[in-house]
Amino acid sequence: MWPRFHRRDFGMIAHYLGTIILLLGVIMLIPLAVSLLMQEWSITSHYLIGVGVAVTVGGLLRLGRISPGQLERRQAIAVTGLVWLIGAAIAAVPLWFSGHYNSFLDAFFEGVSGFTATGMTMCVDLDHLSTADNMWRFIMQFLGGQGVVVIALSLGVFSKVGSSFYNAEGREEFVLPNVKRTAQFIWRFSSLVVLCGTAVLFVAMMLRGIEPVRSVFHALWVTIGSYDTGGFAPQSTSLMYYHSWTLEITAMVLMMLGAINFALYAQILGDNRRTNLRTLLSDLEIRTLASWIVFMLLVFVAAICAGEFLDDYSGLVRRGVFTIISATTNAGYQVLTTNQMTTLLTSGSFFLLIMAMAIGGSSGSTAGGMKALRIGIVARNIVSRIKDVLAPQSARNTTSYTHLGRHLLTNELTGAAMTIVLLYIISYIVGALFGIAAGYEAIPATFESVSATSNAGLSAGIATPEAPVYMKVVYIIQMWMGRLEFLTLLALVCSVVASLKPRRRGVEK
Amino acid sequence: MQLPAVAWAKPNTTIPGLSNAGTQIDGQTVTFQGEAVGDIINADEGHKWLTLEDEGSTISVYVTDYQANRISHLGRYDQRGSFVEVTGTFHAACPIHDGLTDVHADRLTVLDAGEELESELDFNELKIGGVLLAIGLLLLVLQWRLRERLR
Repeated sequence: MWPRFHRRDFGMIAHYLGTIILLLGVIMLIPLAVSLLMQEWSITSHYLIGVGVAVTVGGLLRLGRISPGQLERRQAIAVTGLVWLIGAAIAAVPLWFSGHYNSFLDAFFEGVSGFTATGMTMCVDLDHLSTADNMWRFIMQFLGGQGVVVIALSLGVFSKVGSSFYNAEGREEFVLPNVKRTAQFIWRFSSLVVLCGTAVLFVAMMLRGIEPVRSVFHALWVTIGSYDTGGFAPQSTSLMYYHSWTLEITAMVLMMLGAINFALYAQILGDNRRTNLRTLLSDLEIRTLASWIVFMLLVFVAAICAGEFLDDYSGLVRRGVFTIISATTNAGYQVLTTNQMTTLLTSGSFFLLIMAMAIGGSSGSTAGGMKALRIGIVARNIVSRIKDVLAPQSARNTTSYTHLGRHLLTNELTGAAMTIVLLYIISYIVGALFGIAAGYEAIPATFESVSATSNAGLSAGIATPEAPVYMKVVYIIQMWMGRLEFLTLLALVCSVVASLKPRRRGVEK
Repeated sequence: MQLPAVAWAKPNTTIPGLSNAGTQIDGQTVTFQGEAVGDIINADEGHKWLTLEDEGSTISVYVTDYQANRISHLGRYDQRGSFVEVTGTFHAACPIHDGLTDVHADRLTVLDAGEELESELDFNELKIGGVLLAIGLLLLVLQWRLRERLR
C-alpha cells in the first residue's frame, strides 16, 4: 500500500516550500545589487520582479500552515522534490526578461540546469549577457551544488526539521553529528574553497589582460562552476576563452575537490592527520574514483592516439586530460569544441566520455552520476560472489569495506546500490531513445541523455535553443531526477498518485 | 574542399561554417566577418587572442598586437563590438596552440568600430516589481499576525 498525502500534509509542505522560495527571493537581491553596481539599469527591474514573484509565492505558500511543526519524512521528500522545480521556475523569471532566452521553457531549462549543477545552457548570445544575469546563473549553480536544503539548514532557516530533509536531497552521510552542524561545515568549507579559488583565478585572468572588475567576476564564476561541478561558462567558448594553462589546471583541481565526499574532508581535517591520511587512502570510494579516472585517462589517451586528432603531446595532455577530468567529475567544462568532440574525436573516444560521465564522482559531493561508491560496492559484491562460488559450502564468507568507517557488505546495501545504478541506466537509455526518435544519431543522443541525467553538462550539440520542445522537457526531467537520485522523486510521484485515488471505505484509516 | 585564397577577397565562409568545419579546410586561407566580443586576451609576445562572434557561433582568432589595437569596442552587455573582417589560416586543431580550433590572422579590417549602448531603467517593470514585492510583504505580515494570534 502506498502512503498517501493527507490534507494536513499539504499545508506543511506548502509552508516549508514557501520558506525556501522566500530565501531564494532574498538571494535574488545579490544579482539585483550587481546590476546597480555595474549600472545595468535595464536589468534591475527584472530582478525586482523576480524578488517580487518569489516573496509573493513564498508568502502565499507559507499561509498553508501558520505554525508548522516537525517535518515528517514523506513531507520532507515532497518539499525537496518540488523545491527544485518551483525554485527553478521562479529563478527563470529574471532570465526570461533578459531577452536571451527564446521562451520561458528555455529560461526554465536554464534554471533547472543551474540548480541541478548540470551546466547545459539555452542562453542565446551568451557573450552579450549582463553581469547580473551571469551572476544569477552562477548563484544557482552554487546553491545547486551545495544543495538548496543544505544552504537553508546552515543559515538556520529551519528550526524544526530532522535528518529526513537532508537525506531527501540525496545526501546519506552526516559530516558531523547533527544535521545543522553538517550543513554549516559544508557551507564554511565550500566558502573557503571558493574564496581561495577565486583569488588564484583572479591573478591568472589579470595576467591574461582581462580588466580587474571582469577578472573578479569571471574568477568567481569559473571557481563556482568548477568546484560545484556545474559547468556554466561566462562566455560561449567555455574555458577555451581564457587560453590559460594555469586557469585550466586550477579548474581541474577545483573540479576534483568538488567531486570528493564532504564527510571525508571533515575526517581529513580532524585531529589525527596520520590516521586520517591512511583513512583517505583506504576509502573504497576514493580508491574506486582514483582507479576509474586513471583507467579512463589511459584508455582515452590510447583511443585518441589511434586517430589523427591531438597528435602532439602537449595538446593530448592539455585537452585530453582536462576533458576526462571534466567528464568524470561531471563538471562539464569544455576545452574541446562540440564540433571537435563529435567529428574529430574517434567514436571510441567519444563513447569513453559517455562512460566517464555515467559513473560520476563521489557520493555526498557536488558531483552527479551513479557515484563511485556504488560502483565500488557492486564491484566488491561481484568479488564476494566469486569467493562464495569457490569456497566450500560450509564456509561463511563476509566482506567489508572502508568508507567513513568500517562496514559490512550486506545484501541490503548491495541491493540499494544496484537499484540506483539500474535507475540511472534506465534513464540513460530512455533519454537516448527519445533523442533517436527525434532524429538524432544514436551516440550523440546517448551522450546528451547521459550528460543530462548525470548532471555533467557536456554537450554533443543536441540540447540547444533549436532543440524540439519535448527534448528539452525530457532533459529537464532527467536533470531533476538525476540530481535527486531518483528515489526521492519516484517516492513523491507514487505518493501523489496514491493520494489522488479515491479512498476505499472501511479499508484504509 | 579548396576555398579560394585571395588576400582581399570577399568573405568565403562564415563563423558558423568554421565552427562546423572538419579537417577538409584545415590549413587553408579563409576570410570571414564577425563581431569582436568579450576581452582581448594576452597570447605570446607580440600577439593577442580575439573572440569573434557571428550568428551565435564564435571562433578564437590569433592576431598581432597591432591588429588587436585597432579594436575599439568589445561586444558585451553595454557595448556593440567592433565588426571586423579577418583573412587568415584556419586550424581545426592548431598544432601550435595545443589542438585549439583557431584562425591565425594575416589581415584584419575593421568594418564598423562598434559603440557604447545605453541602458535605461524600465519604470513600468519597476512598478510591477514593486507591486509584487508589496503584495508579498503584506502576505508575510498577515502570516505573522495570524501566528501571533494563535499563541
